[in-house]
Amino acid sequence: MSIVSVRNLRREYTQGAFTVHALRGVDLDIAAGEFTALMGPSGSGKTTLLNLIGGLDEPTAGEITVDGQDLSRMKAGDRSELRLRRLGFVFQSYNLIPVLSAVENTEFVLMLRGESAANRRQRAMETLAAVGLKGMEHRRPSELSGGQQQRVAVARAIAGEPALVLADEPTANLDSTTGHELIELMQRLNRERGLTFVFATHDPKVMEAARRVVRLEDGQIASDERKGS
Amino acid sequence: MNFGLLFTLAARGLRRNRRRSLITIAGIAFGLGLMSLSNNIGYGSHQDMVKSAVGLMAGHIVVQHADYQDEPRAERVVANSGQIASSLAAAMPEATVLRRINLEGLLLSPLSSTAVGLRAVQPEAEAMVIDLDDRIVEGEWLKADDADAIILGQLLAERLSVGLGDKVVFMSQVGDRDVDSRLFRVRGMFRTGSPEIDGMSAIVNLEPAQELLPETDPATLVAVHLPDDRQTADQTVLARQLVPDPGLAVMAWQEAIPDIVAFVELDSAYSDAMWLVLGVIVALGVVNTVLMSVMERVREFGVMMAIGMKPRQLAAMVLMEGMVLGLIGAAIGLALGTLATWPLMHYGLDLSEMYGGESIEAGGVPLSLVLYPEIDTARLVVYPFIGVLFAVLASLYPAWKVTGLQPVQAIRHQ
Repeated sequence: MSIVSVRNLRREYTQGAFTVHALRGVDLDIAAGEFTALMGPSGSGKTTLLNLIGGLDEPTAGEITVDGQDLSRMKAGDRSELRLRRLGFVFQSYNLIPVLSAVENTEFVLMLRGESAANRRQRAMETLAAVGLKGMEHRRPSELSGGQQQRVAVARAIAGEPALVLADEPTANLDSTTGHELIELMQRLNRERGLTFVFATHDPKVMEAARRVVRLEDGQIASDERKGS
Repeated sequence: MNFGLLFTLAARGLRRNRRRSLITIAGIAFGLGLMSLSNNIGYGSHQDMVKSAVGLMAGHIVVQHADYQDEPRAERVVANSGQIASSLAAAMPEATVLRRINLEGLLLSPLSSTAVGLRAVQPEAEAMVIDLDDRIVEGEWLKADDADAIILGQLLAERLSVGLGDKVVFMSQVGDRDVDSRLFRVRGMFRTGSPEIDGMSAIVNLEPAQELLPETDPATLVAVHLPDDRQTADQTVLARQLVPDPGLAVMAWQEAIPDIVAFVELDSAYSDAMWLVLGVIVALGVVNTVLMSVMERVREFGVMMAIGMKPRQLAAMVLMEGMVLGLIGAAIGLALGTLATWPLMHYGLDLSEMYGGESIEAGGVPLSLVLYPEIDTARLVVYPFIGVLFAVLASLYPAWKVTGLQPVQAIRHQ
């Protein structure tokens, strides 16, 4: 069953007198439990596609269905609610809230959902342990290395048990060893918890780890390869 | 959304740029502290003024001729005033009930004459409610059995060139009656420090002044002085039942001396207007702090929106930052204002050097130039709310800016 379904998706931006065609009619289905990499050069449209799937942006035309809900017909408030309940995000620059500790960052989504203090704290602690940050729960982002911060970002993305995790260049700011460890962590979470991951990435290591690689060029899908199939 | 989370985010957000937040808090605290101190001084002087006016010009409850307030003519008297005073005194045993006559006329000495306001009183009762007997600078206060005695303001005695024991004649015309006169002998002189009062006031016993008025046992007013102003409303109702005569008006002091009430209200309103201006200036400082704080965190807000925070929740967080600034500033400001008030409540604020005298006259009431502030508890409760309200209002614009953010653009913001 598809967790993401994209049909004839178009996104155009106006820059002065020019119109930039970021996506030119993309069709894509992603099944639950997939570990998918969106690859392509800068400007190919992968981040735009990721943002549209995440409901952070609105398409010029086309349809996006995520977890059975048609994003193209949803209001901004409903898309916020969908992101809160069903999606997780990992960004290139970690983007943790600097004034909150690792465990507070991790439980932030659960707080927004209104879960009880005891329940969300326990889940956040368990999630941090699962990403290898046991003992660092009360450190602020400034007291953590880049790799550790990105692990907190992953913990924040998965603590709410989302249907889909969207990661935009998650290894771009990490050294190769740390990046590799992070990919292994996400692979393990995909394998053990059945979490669906979609990456926008340049990183060949992510491409190697991904079971499906979708290549974008000039706003269109150039290839769609599944490994081991 | 969780209030605790909003508060945590706001409080920690403000700690990111501590210096900027502290300067803003200091601005709020200083403004509110100054406002609180100034209000306490104003409140103290207003209380002093009302107390003086109630004592000198009225009473907590006043019985007068029904038309006297419209036009205070001498012949508009309370007849059988002794009986009325007795019935009020019997019903209110803790109160001091007294009678007065106010007459305008001419006071003549062998060498000079001048217009005066003659005040006829019951000396013992009067001494219990006003402090003129303590302000005698020559001679002595009135004695009830000395019908010829007159006490003059020191300046008035100088104008008439009279001293203790000298004779003066008071002349007055009441209504359609012929001009009448009465001889008095100077027994004492008082000094309030107010040239208007010291230069135009004379005090005599009630009985000789009654001879100048129509009706039986007349008085300009019967005044009831209560031990506590908070009893005024209830006891006025009782007094109205005891004095049902439609030709008489039974009033609480607020009705009896409306000029004083209006003066206090106007003075308070003027002060409030000044503080409103200061509040707006401080609020602009809060706008700057919160707006800067918001503009520095656009990317962070973008991430928060991406992970599911709604624009209104972000706006609530920004308003909470203003509220936290306001709360801390208000708490410090009130503490500062109260601490600054404390020594002045005991030692007073002496303005006599500035005004060059001992007292000033306002609305016919001598006011001491040594001001003793009082803590205005009603406003003490209101001020923190005003501080927080201004800070929250000042955060509305930054909060509104946040609601317009688009997640994708905000995340890319550098």
